[in-house]
Amino acid sequence: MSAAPVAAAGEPTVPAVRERLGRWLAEHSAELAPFTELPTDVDGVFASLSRLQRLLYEAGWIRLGWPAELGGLGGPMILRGVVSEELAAAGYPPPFSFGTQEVLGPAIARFASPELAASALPRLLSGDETWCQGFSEPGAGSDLGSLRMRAVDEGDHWRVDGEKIWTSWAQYSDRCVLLTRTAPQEAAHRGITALFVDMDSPGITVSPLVTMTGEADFCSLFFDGVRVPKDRLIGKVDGGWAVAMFILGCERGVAAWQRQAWMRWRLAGLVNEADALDGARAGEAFELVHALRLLSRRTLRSLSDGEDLGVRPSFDKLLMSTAEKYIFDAALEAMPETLLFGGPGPARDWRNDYLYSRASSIYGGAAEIQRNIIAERVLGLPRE
Amino acid sequence: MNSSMDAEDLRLLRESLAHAVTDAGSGGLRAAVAGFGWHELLAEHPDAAVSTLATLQGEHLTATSLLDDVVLAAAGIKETARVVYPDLPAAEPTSRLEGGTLLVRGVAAATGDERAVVPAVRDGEPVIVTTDLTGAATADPAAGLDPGAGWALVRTESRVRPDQVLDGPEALARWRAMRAAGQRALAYELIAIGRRMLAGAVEHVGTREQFGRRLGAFQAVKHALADVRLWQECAELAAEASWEDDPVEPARLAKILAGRFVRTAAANCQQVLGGMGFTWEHEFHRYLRRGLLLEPLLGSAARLRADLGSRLRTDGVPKLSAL
Repeated sequence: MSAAPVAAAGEPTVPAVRERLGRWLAEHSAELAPFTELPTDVDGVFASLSRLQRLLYEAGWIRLGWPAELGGLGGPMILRGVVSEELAAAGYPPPFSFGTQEVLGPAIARFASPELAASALPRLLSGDETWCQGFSEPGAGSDLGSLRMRAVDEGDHWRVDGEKIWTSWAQYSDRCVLLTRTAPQEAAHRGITALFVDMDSPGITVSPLVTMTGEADFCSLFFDGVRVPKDRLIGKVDGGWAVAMFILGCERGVAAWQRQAWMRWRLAGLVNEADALDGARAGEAFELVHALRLLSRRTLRSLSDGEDLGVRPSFDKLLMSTAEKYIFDAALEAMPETLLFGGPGPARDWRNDYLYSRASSIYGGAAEIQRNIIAERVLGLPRE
Repeated sequence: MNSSMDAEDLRLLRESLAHAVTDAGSGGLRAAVAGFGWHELLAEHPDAAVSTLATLQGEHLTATSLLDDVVLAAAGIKETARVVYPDLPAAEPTSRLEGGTLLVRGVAAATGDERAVVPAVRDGEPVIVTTDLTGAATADPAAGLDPGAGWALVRTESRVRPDQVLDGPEALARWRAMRAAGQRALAYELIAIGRRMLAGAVEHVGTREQFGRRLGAFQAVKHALADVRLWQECAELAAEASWEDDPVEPARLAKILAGRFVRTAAANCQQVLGGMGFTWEHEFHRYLRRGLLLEPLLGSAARLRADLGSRLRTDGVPKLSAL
């Protein structure tokens, strides 16, 4: 494997990468075919996506747009958007790490010490490691600033105690980007510190939680006297809110880009499969996906140019849930027998995606929060 | 970002064109805009020319529309004429050419050139007919919802010679270019109307108090206006993006999203304006009228979604707006 990866064999421009990747996908279609239909259980999905990630890493595709010192192949960040889009357009699922890679990866690159970033990020890209995002708590969901997990300075380490919930894929994770409280509760969002925690540290208990789809997509985490070395700080002490907001910006914006590419592919499938799909419904679904594409494209370009995202990703997130729910409502309306009675295979996928779409207006900041942000910070209406 | 002019030039253009529009007064818009050199700009930088002028038309609720100029330029027609658009809310010609008889059924400027360009249908295929509207029956524009807009229904029929009719692929291509250019211009105009509605509503709920606090502090009010603002953002991006690819689909999408924005603005802004927004004195109803009139022109959002849906069925889901 000493030869240069195929992804790097050419110009690092958007059209050139799109063309190269398209060719590679076509040439490897037999090898990639198993990934178009994922297993039904969450363990199987994880194993399958890990293999896909390894394949894409070795060819270099998911190293594009990351600097060499972080394990990448260089080139503008926007190339990452091309790769995720072309994969989705060809009907492949986003490799497992794509979510974390685009949501947590940029925050580590930006806020962690260069040493920590250089040691951690290559392992994320290669799929050697999986990360999770320890934000929500039983008492702090939409009101994230009131979180209570304590981190106490004990000289050469932090001692962490408390509870996290809705932590996606934590049962498979090697590391966690964790938000902790390091100042009194009254300091609210000004007293939060972000830490990069090894999930095999003594004192962490991971309990899978089953979602309404029937699979354990997320977990609750208990921390009991967990020691976290001082060099695992992300950003500044009591400066974790900036890290959290940056991560949420990526989650709302970049994730929306991946999601729109996937939605476009799902909608094309729906138009093909469902004869009973009403024309105006199909048109409106495409309208929403198109609008989401334009919003998230802007976010991606801003990130790639190193611009501040501000509150704009709130638009992306609000529309992402609107579009996703709309498409699967349309699917249910057009194919009730399939969704309600169908067996395994495509019917199960439509059913799961329908159910999963219900959460899209809740995770990553509920739709109500996004509307508050737009009203107060874009329109300038009075705060509560 | 996508404009063929840089941001500073565009700002200056917008400013000076705004002066020309404001000074023109009722009825003088076409002359003022022509004196400004806007038609030359339209030929060189259509994106800058259309986005600035259509926006000003929406903001000022002008009595004259330069939509015809935009649409004719897109079809490469140099002579001035009135365009007869499809009846509301259609996006395909509703005028018909049967034998040598043109049955004109559509919407056009109430006054202007006698010469008219009429997109029509003959045996299911689009044709473009150049005719004369002298003595044509137009419904009294003063009787409608927005008499100040200068639009009227046209109902007439005339005999046409073969040399007045353009048909075949050339007619289809021209009609598509005309429709896309018109939809794009209307999108900017509708967006400007929606923005004025929203600005009025934000101003109102930011100052008026009920139950001891400002209306805008109530979450129900915030969320209603946040939704309007979301659709504004989408509509603006879609209008900008409509200059990128072959314009047929992007222009249709821009018009759909502008329609969604203005309809949501009309409903939600009116609601939070309360009694004030229902008065003659308040400006809201003027924007509502213009919005209601223009939204179905060249296809209402509802009609365009259905048209788009049938296109998805036949041609698949298009790839637009590349990274």
